[in-house]
Parts: sequence; structure tokens; C-alpha cells
Amino acid sequence: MRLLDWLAAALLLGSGAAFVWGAGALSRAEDLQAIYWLGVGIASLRAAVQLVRPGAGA
Amino acid sequence: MTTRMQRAPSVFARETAREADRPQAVGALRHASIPGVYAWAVTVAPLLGARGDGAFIARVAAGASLAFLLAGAAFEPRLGPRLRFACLWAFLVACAVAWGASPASLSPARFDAVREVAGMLGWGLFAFAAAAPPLRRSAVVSGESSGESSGAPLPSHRRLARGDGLYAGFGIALALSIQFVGLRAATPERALLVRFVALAAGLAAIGASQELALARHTVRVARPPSARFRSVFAPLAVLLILLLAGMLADESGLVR
Repeated sequence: MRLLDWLAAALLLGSGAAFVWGAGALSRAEDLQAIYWLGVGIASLRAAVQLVRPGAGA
Repeated sequence: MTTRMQRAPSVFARETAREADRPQAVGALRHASIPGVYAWAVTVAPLLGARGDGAFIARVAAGASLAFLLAGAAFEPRLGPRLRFACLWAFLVACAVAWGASPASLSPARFDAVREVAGMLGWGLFAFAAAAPPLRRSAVVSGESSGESSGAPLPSHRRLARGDGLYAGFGIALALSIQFVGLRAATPERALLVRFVALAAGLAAIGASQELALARHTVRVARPPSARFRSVFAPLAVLLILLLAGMLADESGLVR
């Protein structure tokens, strides 16, 4: 595995943690925090995929 | 003779197109019908005994949803993908109408945590099965998935490449860990929203882990650092801005 693969895996793990926090905040009716953590999760997931995708353009 | 030979490619193209349009022998909705019936039995069937406001609509929609699912599974091989999509969406919309017509039937007092988890797993399995591409009967018999009608399957079809199982397991574990959050929502509407978000996040995590696994097998073209930076810049910038904004909001006490 190369460094990029490790970084992508770490971002994927981070996105999972963000989704967990987001879902937890959503169930506690803390909507602002839920939106924030879900946004972090989506951005992290996108960055993880974009990092390893070979033909990704600008 | 020459004319017949010249016509051969067009005949072949027509036959190929006909083959492509032919309803698949083993359809996706038929695969998905078993987890669909399971999810329906856990989460929608209780609405058949609904009482109070909107109970009649809930009962009719609950019964109709099962009928749509079974009809789609029964007639899909003969009538093709259009019927599959129609029945799939009719099933989902009827389930949503049943839940919406009688939300009191989904209150936490009637749904315990075990049933919630069972229903969540059922809908997750149904989503996976319904999203799978339809299989040809010949592919099912010979174990192929590429459409070839004969020959031994390729080695890569027989077993996972080394390390891919780790990625798949990682994605599935991540998706499952998201599903066990927020099982004690205050209202039924919020519980449904949390389940929907958790399911979508789980599917996204599995999809991303598979992308990571597939990227290991692609030919890696040496790109200049600037091109690589451009491709990752936007999501990383959004991520950093969100993290910084969260830290600032936490420091200044704007949240909570």
C-alpha cells in the first residue's frame, strides 16, 4: 500500500466517525451539529475517493 | 449471396439488440423480493392493524405495497425492466404512504429496539439486492457475469484479489457501526429520518471502500503533483474549512 492509500483509508475512517456523530446528533434533535458532521463526512468521503481515483481530473 | 453476407452484420446487430432488450431470466426484483417481504413484514405489516386517523389509508397502502412487490417479482421475467422499476417504486411509495398515513402506529411504544434493528437490516438487504444488476440464466449456471455464454470463468471472477476482502470488510463494518447509532429517537418521524440518513451513509461508506479497493488494481499513471493537487483540492478545501469552522464555533461557544 502506498501513502495515498493509507491517507484515503484514514479519510474513509474519519468520514465513518463523522457519520456516526451526525446520526447521533440527529437523533438527539441537535440539527445544526448533525448537518455539520454529515457535511464533514460527505467531504471526507469525497476526498478519500478522489485521492485514489487514477483518472480524476480537476 | 453477397447481399445476404452484407446484411449479416445488420442482422447480427438486430439480434444483439433484441437480446439486450429481452427480459432477463433472473431479475433484480425477484432477487430482492425475499428481503423486501422480510422488511415489509417487520416494518409495514403491523400497519395492517392500524387504528385511528388515517388507518384505512394505511391498511390499504400496506396491502398494496406487498401486492406490488410480489407482482413485480412474478412478472419481471416476462415483462422486463420497465415493470421492475414501476413495481419497485410503487412498492416504496405505497410503504411511505402507509407510514405517513398512520405515524402513530410507528411510535416507540409499539416498536421495540430489536424490531427496529431487524427492520433496518431488512431494508438494507432489500436496497442491496434491488441495486444489483440482473443476471442472465446462463451466467448463473456457468458462474460468469460478463455475458459470455461458454468457457471457464476468469480467475478474477473466482476469488477476491489479495487485500480486497479487507477493504470490503472495512466498509461493511463501517456501515454497520453507523446503523447502531440513534436507535432511541424521540419521535417516529425523527427515527425514520435517522434511519434514512444512517442507511444512506452506510451505503456511501461501502461504495467508497469498494472504490478504494478497485483503485488498487487500476494502472497508476504518474501524474504531476499539480494535477493530483487539483483533483483533490476541492473536497479537501471543503473539509478543512468545515473543520476550522467547527473549531472556531466550538471555541467561541456558538454551538451548544
